[in-house]
Amino acid sequence: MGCGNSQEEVPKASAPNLLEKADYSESYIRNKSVINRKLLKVILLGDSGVGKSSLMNQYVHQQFAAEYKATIGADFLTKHVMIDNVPVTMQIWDTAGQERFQSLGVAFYRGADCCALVFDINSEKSFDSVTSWKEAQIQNPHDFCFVLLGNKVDIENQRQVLKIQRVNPLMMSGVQKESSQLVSAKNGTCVVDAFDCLAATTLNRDDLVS
Amino acid sequence: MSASSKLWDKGLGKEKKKSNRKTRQTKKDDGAINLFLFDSKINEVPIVVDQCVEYLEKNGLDAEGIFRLSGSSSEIEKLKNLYIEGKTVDLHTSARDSNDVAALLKLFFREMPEALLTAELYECFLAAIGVPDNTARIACIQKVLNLLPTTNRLVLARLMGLLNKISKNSAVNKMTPSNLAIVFAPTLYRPKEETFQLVMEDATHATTLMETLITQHEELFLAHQPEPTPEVVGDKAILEGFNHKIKTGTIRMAKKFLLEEKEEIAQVAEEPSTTSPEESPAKPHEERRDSLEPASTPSPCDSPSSTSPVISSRNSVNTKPVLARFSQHVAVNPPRVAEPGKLASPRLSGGDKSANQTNPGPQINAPSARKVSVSTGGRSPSASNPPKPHINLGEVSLHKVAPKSPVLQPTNNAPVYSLPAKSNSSSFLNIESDKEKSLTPPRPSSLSKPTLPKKEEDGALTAKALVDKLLEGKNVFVMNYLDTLEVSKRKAIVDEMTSILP
Repeated sequence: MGCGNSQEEVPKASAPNLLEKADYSESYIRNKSVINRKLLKVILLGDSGVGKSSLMNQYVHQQFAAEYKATIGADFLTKHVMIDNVPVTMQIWDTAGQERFQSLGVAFYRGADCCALVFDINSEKSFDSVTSWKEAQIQNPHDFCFVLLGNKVDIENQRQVLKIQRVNPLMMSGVQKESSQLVSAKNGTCVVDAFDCLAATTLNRDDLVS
Repeated sequence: MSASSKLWDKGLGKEKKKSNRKTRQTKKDDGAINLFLFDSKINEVPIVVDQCVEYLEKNGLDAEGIFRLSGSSSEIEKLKNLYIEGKTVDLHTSARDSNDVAALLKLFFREMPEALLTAELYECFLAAIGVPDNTARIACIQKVLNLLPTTNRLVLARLMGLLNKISKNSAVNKMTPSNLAIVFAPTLYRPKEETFQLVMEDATHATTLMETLITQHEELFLAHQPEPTPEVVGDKAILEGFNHKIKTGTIRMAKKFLLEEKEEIAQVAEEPSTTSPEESPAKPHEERRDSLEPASTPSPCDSPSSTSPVISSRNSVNTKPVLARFSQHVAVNPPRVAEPGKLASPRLSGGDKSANQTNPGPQINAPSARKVSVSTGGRSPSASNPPKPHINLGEVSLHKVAPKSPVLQPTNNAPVYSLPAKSNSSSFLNIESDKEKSLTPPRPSSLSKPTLPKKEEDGALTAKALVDKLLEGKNVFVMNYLDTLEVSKRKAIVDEMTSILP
């Protein structure tokens, strides 16, 4: 299973003057790891088939697999990014959308900073369940920063999107609306943007809290 | 309903009578039966499963992402409540979304108090899936499947039949065996104490197991295989590990069975006016007539008119499926599928399995005689030649003992009775097969004979013998036998069995 030790080791660099260069390639950030590096645990929740795994893969590997495949249990990938000049290790947890895992989830949400609720903009049903995913899953919602991601904007039929956007503010209290976006895991529309944005929001929120 | 499920359903008739007494448990105050509660004792496919599977076989095969996609929670809740209230639900309405039905079915399995593949056999399945060789693995899985309670096995066969069909249409619905397995594995297969970590660790194996059940559906649930030969099975260390697991699994299942039986007895004792006490005192009487039939009429075939009514009055539902089966697969195959209950699972009694059993002194010969006769009888009564010594032993003791003690009352301390009862069965069968050669053509009543020995044995069995039966996986047999006893005796023997169990 992927939940082993796939997280890369963080080299203990001694030099604190890390932000001397403007070129923040991932390898650079990883190698120039620092004391104030932040680890951000993001979990993706949502109905089966809305594209959680695809979003993760698109963000981390810039790949989209056309293969139709359900996720076994859970898996995570990491990505090193710079957010507001701070090196951040994003640990993105992809969960199985099967209802069965709702009861198993608790162990898995522990320590999560941010929760991305994913739905399929062409399926109102998947949007309806977002609320239940949010409420049923999260034991202590105040520890989380929620964002909403509407996936599959690449698909033509977008009528339901407008509807959802109208309903959104009413239904999703507690969600960081400014970070919620419509994305496409297939062609990559707004994916990087969305994740960076949710990371920034989470970090800002954490700063405010602390 | 498909041919495959029909085949399985035929085996159901056998235990149908039990459903009356068992479903009482789920009755609510107003007399309605909660249909959304898995009752492991009904020995038939629950209505919810039956209806959902039937619906999906018609309407779900083309639906993309069927079983993976979630349904509308409000609709599912509505359907679920209807079943809980015991109402008749018509799934076949035009507005019905197949995803809702699929989700309802998944919900049913998720809400079962225990996983369909049972917590007791969790490790057995895990060990089976770890066997590297393909054929051996299938045989091992088969072995574990045979340990499942009848109801569970029927439901599993039905469900896997559906999943198999869906996966064959995966070009359209995108649900490959692997996808379906991922969706169902965590629901159907879970350990007793489940932690997130354990679930994650075993997830791959669980998925492989489920995938095998789906893809090998025909072989595992429908085919009439010969007994698996232990020689084929390859690596000894792995096999030994598996056999050890199987052994502990069997004991666990037996313990579970006895526990349930105790609960049942406690319940029956509480409400003595309901069906089962009426049933049970009547049965030993018929039992007696049954078992004495061959004794009083030396050649049973001469008096078919007297024999068959007894059979049918005792277990009218039983004879039909057996007949159907035998006319279908005339004397070629062991009666594996038609008796999904553990009654006739010769594979379990063969090979390494029997080595595990320890028989009490006076009975050592009897069970083996029975085994031989049952399996050969199932295959082809006329073709095979059963070992003579057993026949003679049986015949002698039959004539000696049976007339003297016309009442083969089930007693705990009567190895004397139990021996003739068993040999009786084998000899009866052998007489039968000898007669068959001379007496053509075979009548339907004679076709049903192979199942008779099991009932005749009911005459008198010790707790030890019953425990052995349990360890052979013949739960249904033991259950039926215990049903024939009075409550107090039943309690005594169940208690004794519990103490004997290793």
